[in-house]
Amino acid sequence: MNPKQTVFSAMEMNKPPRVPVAPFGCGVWTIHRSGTTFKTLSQDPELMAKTNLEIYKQFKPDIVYVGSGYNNLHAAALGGTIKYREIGAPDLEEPYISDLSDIDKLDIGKIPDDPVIQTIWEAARIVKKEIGDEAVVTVTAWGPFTLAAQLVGVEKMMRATFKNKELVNASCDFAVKMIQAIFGPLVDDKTIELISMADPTASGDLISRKQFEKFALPYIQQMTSWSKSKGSKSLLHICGDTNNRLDLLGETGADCISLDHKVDLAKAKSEIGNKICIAGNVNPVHVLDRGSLDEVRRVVGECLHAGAEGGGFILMPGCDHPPTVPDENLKVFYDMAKQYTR
Amino acid sequence: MDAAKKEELLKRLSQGVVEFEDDEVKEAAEEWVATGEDTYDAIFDGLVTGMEEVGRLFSAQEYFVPEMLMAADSLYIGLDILKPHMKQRDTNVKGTVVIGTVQGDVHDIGKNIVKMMFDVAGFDVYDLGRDVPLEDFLKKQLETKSDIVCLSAMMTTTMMGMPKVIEMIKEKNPNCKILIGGAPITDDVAGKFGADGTAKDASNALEEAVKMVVALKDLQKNS
Ligand code: B12
Repeated sequence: MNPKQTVFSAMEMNKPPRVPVAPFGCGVWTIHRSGTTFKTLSQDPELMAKTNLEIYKQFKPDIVYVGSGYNNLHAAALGGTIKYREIGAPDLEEPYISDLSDIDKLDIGKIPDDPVIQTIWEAARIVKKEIGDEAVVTVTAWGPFTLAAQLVGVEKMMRATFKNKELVNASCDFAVKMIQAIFGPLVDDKTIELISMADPTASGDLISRKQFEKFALPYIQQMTSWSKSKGSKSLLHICGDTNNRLDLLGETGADCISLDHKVDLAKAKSEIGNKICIAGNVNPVHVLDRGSLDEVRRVVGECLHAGAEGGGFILMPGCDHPPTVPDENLKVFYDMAKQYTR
Repeated sequence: MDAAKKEELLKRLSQGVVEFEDDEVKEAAEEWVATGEDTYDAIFDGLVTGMEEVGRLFSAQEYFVPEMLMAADSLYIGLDILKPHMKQRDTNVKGTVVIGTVQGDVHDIGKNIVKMMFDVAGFDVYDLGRDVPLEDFLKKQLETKSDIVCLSAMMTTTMMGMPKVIEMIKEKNPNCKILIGGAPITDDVAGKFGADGTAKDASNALEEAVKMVVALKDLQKNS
């Protein structure tokens, strides 16, 4: 099996000959390594593709993420302004949905006109052309609840979950349409066969199980069934402590769920491991970034031990990893999975 | 107001915050004000007690961020009604204070309650708000020549900005007193950070501040 087949085999709940291994997103790290900036890349698809291909050559991850870190620019395609920072991913400066009527004024049809989205599309096509069917090529976006919270403003969205449920539902509905418009052309022409979403505002540290079930899950399900209907797979990352809602993560319809380091991997494996492929969950900061080689070895070993049995598992950091992660630590992370055949 | 009535209103205030029942908090606060009594207890044994319970529910993973925000909103509704009716405290000294919550931290309830105590004691207070860039404390101190700078931080991460502010200010103006506080601040931490004092709650904060102003005035007299 080649790397792509290895990943898809695990996502189809089989046991590939070795454990697939990939980062999650890691746009900030990728761009930092290439010595360039988010802003420069946003106008240069060739260069954006090059940063991905360089990383691919060096570390041979089984999944390559194009346009990672640009999720807030998706939001900016229909309004608002973007603030670029010296380090880290850009921010949307002002939310632009304050009530239901604002949503009616927005035109999804304008997504393809956005220059940054065009750059990401073109970069994905270049990367796909180079990598072909050897590894999985994907593009990243926010999950519906997180994108909607960007459009509405995070604090306002949080209050609206109690005070204005209509606004939460309508903005999540709209976010689903936006995300579909962003992935659509790439899924249609098979540039990507996996969509990748992160939903940090629906994190287990921010909202309750009840709210996750009411406001995040239904829209995630809309995305995953849309992806299926297009013949694509889906990878979903939920941040934070989700130990009390693993069963709900099993119902997202995603082909793979990426778990934060706060989740007990063995517990996840026994609760939902026969239902959905699990990815995780090496602590990206305390272990990958700041840990010694021995610590990386120990924690990666623990993750493999807890997750790999019977297949349906991908080794991944518990979240996006910081730009400062030492190469030696990453090398251990990749090598250990690739050598893990049990 | 008799003891039973007082008990009832306190309960409605704290429960109102915990269950973020804005109307309940508003009504109970208004009833309290109508009795004409000092609103000090209503604020501290009612609203603040409720918020303490919210903190416990958050730690127990029963409450999450939306619930905390809603509870904070309810607390502020009560505070707006009760604050104007808090009796003036006569401390015999008047000082000038710059206050704010440090960079990265948006928790401002504790800071606002400390500020309120300074207000009722007749201090001149310059409030920089929350998530305040560290240099702004120095700028404001130099501009107002305040006796005291008060820093609030509620997180173990954001409190690390405090020693930086303290160093900046002490370098320019070694006589300025610095009082810090917030949930993660202990006497130990305050000592390590080089602050002149800390206090675990708002009344103690005022007491500390009064001592500081008195000490400053003595210093001026003797020099
Ligand atoms: C309400 C609340 C919120 C509200 C704040 C609303 C607002 N406008 O302030 C919201 C929802 C926004 C919030 C957000 C978050 N919060 Co919060 N929050 C709380 C909570 C429940 C209550 C705080 C409060 O208002 N208490 C009531 C007031 C009256 O008490 P107080 O602040 O302690 O102030 C008194 C004294 O400390 C003292 N004092 C305060 N300041 C000063 C200053 C001086 C000079 C002096 C002398 C004295 C003094 O006097 C005050 C009055 O008596 C606490 C839990 C807790 N146990 O404290 C968590 C808590 C502070 N939050 C926490 C966390 C983790 C967060 C989030 C990161 C959650 C998330 N995942 O997003 C975010 C961070 C946002 C940010 N960047 O700042 C943690 C911090 C842990 C840590 N790392 O140290 C806590 C401790 C909860 C917990 N147990 O984990 N939060």
